[in-house]
Amino acid sequence: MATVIFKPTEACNARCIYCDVVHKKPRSPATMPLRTLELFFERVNEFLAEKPLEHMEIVWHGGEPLLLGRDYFMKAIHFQRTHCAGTSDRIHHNIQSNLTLFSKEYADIFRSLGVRSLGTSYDPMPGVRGLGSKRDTNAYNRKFLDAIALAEEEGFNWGLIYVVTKLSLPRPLEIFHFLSNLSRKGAFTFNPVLLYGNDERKIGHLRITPEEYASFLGEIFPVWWRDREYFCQIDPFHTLTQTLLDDRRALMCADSGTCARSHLNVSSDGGISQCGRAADWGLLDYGSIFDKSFSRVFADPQKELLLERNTILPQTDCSGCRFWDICHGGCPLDSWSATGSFFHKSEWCLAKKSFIEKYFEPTVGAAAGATEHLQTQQPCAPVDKHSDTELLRSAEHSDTASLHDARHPDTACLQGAKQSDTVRPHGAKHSDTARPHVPDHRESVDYTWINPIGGLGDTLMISGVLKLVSEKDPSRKFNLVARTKYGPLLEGHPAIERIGHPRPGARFLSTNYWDEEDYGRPGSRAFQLLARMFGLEPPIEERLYVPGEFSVDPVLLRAIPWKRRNILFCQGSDSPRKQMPIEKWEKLAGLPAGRKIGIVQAGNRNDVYIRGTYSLLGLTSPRHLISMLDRFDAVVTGDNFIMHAAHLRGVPAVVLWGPTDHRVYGYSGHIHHQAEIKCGQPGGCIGPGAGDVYRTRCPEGVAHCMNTFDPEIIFNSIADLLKR
Amino acid sequence: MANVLLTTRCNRSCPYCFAKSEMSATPARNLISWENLIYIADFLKFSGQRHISLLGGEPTLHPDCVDFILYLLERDFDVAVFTNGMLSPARLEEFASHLTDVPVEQLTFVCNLNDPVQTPASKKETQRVHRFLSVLGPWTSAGFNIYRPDFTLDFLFDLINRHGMKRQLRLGVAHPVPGSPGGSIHPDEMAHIVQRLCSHRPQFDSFRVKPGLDCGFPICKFSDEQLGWLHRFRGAVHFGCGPAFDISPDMSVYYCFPLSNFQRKSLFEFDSVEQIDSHFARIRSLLKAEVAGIYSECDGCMHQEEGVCGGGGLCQVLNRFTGEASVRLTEIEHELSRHRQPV
Amino acid sequence: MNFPGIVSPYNEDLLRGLSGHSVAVRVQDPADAAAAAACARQSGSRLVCVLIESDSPLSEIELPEDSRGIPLALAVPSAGRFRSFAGRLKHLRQFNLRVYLSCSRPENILSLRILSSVGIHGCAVIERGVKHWEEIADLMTYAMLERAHHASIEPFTFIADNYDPFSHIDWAFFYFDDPKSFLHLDIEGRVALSREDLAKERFVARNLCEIADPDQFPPIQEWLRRRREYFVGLHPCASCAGWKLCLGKYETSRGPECSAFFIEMIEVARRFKALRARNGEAQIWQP
Repeated sequence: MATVIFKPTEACNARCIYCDVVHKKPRSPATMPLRTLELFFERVNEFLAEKPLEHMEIVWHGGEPLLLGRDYFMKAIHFQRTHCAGTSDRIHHNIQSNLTLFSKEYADIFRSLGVRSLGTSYDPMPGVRGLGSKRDTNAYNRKFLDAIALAEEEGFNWGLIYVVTKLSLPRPLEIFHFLSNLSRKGAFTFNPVLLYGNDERKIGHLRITPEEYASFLGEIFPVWWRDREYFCQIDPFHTLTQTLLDDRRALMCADSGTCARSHLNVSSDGGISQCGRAADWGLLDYGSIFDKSFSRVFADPQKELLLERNTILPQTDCSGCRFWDICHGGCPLDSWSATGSFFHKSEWCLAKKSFIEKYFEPTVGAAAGATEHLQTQQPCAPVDKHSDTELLRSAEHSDTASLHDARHPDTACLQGAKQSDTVRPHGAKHSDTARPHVPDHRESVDYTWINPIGGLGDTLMISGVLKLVSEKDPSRKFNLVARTKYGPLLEGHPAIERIGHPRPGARFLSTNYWDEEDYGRPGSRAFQLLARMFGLEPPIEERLYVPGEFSVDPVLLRAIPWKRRNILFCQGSDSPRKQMPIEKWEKLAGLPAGRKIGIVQAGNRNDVYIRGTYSLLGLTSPRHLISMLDRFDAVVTGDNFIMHAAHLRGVPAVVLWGPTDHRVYGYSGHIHHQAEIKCGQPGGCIGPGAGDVYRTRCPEGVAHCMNTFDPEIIFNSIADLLKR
Repeated sequence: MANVLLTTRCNRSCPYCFAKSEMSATPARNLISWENLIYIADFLKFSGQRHISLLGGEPTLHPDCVDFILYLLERDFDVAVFTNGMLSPARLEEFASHLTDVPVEQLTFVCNLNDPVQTPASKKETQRVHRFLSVLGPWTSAGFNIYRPDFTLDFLFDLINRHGMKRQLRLGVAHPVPGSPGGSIHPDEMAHIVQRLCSHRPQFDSFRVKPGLDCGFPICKFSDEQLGWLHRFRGAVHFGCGPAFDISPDMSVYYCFPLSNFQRKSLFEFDSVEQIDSHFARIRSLLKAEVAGIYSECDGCMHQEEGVCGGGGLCQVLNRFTGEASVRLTEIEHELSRHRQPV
Repeated sequence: MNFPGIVSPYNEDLLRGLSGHSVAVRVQDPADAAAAAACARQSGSRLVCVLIESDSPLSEIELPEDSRGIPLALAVPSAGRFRSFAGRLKHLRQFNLRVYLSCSRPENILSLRILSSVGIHGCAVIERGVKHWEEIADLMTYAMLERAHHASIEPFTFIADNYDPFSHIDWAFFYFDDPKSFLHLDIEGRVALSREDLAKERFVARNLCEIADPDQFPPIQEWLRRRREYFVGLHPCASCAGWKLCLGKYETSRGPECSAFFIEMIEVARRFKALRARNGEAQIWQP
């Protein structure tokens, strides 16, 4: 959009200490004659008619434009209606005024011009802005405050520019809150004071350096950032955030690098220049509206000169600067002021760079890098969007299995009836074991304590390994740390002296074979690793063992509707990731229909029931289940305790594998179905370092590896086993 | 269910007190503030709770005890106050003035009574208790802590009848505080305790006093006949551990007195009772994964697994670890290290 | 601006002259509440409330049955111990009542919370010079964020409901101290802009007739403009992050505590809005 800074008057009723107009001290402030005003609107129409897609923003500026008076503005409205009938929908008026003369009358005028928001400047500091030759700050402030109250009553938004001077530096947050408190609709922008030439002598005490400006902004920025949704637009914060984080470019003219393409200044005498400062300094003069159209002005070679900065600076002053895209070397007139050339960067680039690096990025959390990289970052969620509770939940510990940080073969079958082989005599004082009180002399023997970690399947492997140890050397014994589930399976083991609680200083052997160096290497098997941990030299026969006799609940045995052939299904696992979906199990259960094959399901009471099977869920202890296994012709199971138990009892099994590998855990003689893994974890998602996912569901949904099995194929394997 | 400690001060010293470590660890005048009590009431209301128990130390020592009770009744809670009954005359007068119009169903004093022979008290203490019972007997049910195997209950039945007390008897077992020596019942004594308790059946029956079992009794020590009697007398008997939790005057929340240092958190860290219950359920399952109960047979016991029996008190379970080497899960080890006895 | 409501003493002649106005009638004795209300209504006024200014604690206040249904603003010095008014709560809840308690006494701050939790609406009167900002902040947080059902505690409930980050909120009308909302009459009909002015006999008009248009009435205009002077004079209150809720009310006792309190109140109000937005969204989709 073309922007015309329109300065029909240089007269002003205020004497702001840093104002260019003040320092120029025009003897007779000129006002644009009406004829010139009319010509201006003719030029506007001409431009828009030549460029049917173009819009034009006219920013009424000055001096103080409200000194023009009501009639002048009415004339302007008339000229626009007369000369821009076909293009007025593409003309947008804005105003930059000190508002001290604002009234209801002006509100009506601005509404007629389509103005919705008023631009202004303000600084309440005594002696900085004021009315009249004496620079009466109080009078100025009162009028200004009344004006913005009126403006809001009349439905206008407004935005003010606050010029940061040396006087502002000691109190950045005070100023920030002051301006925020002014009213509800006010947005504001912090700009640094710009002093040139003669200004230095008179008001050099107001000068600030780029670093000081950056620090001023940096004091305020974290406060704004934290609560930014509760403030109106405050710049440069808002603009920078949009540009750097939200990928919505909203650069000011000085930073865009394209002001030459978009901006013009029209003075009260009709002269056209690049901008107000250019006009004051006699630079970039493009002629006047009397002899040039705006289109010709925009094609002026001097504008090309300005645009050349975009080619030259990246190779010179701005070479390698990561902020080029949002700065473009700053305002060319700053460069001219300092060096006499347009082809250097502005000293205020340093302010931007310093602010972004020292304050913006550390606060926002965006990593250093090019603009594109900043644009790809998600903005930090504001702290107040999180409840305390949520934050605390995110810090809670994960569950038991994850603490082990290990693979756990499951514990498919949990206890049913009390175990008759571990009855404790009532009334007598015993240590915390099922065995009779150990005589003192044996307590003094320093056996190593086995710290059993893992599931019941691991327990069977440990038991088997210990049996082999005992066979090799009957005098070699261990104690076992008492832990739920292990005692009932290991009590009475020839290699275990006692089950109990080790004293401090005891020697330990933890059974986390998955942390062994060789785990995961091709050919490496869990049983062999365990064996080596207990001093046996692989390869050894993988024989499992459970001490004591097996006994089965006769009530259960009688109740099961035995058929000619009987298969045991076990669907459950400690890890949902090792479970085939229930629908597939149910389909599998339906396949033997009419073939006199009975299907029984065993497992935890919380396992999902497979329709079509006879349920023993939650009714069997591990020992009872082991005892019962030899009544079945085959077992169909996943990687769980039953798989190991079937091997123990010599019962044929079809085993379904997914995230774990049959080559590590499976036994020869079983038929193994290993699912193809298509997720991003070719080695399986369960293993060392993945304890936190063990008890979670597979995130792949229907693409879960355990969902790729075909029940028909599984049934074929069952049929093969039954034929043997 | 919430147990709210109005204060950690107590004016009695019981040999079996498992709250001693908690009491001694806190300032002498640790009194709950009105603001915190209102917060707790709001918290419980928001969670749909209707019952609240007030404990201590000795809750009646709090200067605003009467106001708190009236306030909680106004908030439509059923209030139970666990007291030793040793109120000063002035405090008793306050109670008499303001609480004797409250329906007996809404307010219960659970008066923890000690055997005058086995745990003798001074004459002044005894007189105070009797005066308390004479004024507030109808609102009061008796409580008794079993801390030695040769306990008797006869004196309780006498007091219940003499003062028109509620015909209920809350029976507790003195639990060990992990790592602390003190009078408590060993798991091996439990069978005897149960037999002795059930031997008072004729009195329970004749005086129609319902025995209420506090946490820590293992179901396996009761015969089927005894369980049937209990059930017929008073309905379902609960052998679990929990789900009540304690809130101290400083708004700490913990599982129970003996476990007051285990996974202690602030009430402000939770949004609802459900969250607290989940938190402690998780702790329970952590511990149960290590040791199922106070006996080895608890491991594999159907009733323990089904949740019917808690396998004894969790504090008793934890107590089994306190002389142990560091072999448990990291979370538990961290807590146990506070209680560990030196090698 | 609409004509402000009138806070008038209970005087039949005075009330008769207030026909067409919104009226709050002041009485000392609760027993006069019904009669005062009837008088105001019969005079053709719209009754805002009966303002009972009593020296007795809440525990000793007897509200007569005939004042049920009348909006009552009951200003008492204290509530007393809970036990002293516990038995009267059921009775009090039957009235359209708001209990005013001064926050200059810390026990009153607690009493407001207690009353709110048992269903009695209250108003925390935060006077200039108050010292217990921490306790008031706790009360404010309770009023705005407590999830369990409780009665309102003004002005906090109002602020929570009406908080707009881009606006000021003036809640002085709860104290009847806002000339945009209320003017005060003495027994002779003289007009003051606030309770304090009334007490100090700082009158701005001899009678209401002198105020034809409040918008154009200079004292009211001046009062409305007084906030501007904070900015003109670069008063520290104008730079306070809590300004939009305070608006300089506590200027005379200005300090870090009042600033911290209002800043905290803004934070809490924002949180309230965020929670309400979240919960509101959930409710839309519930079956």
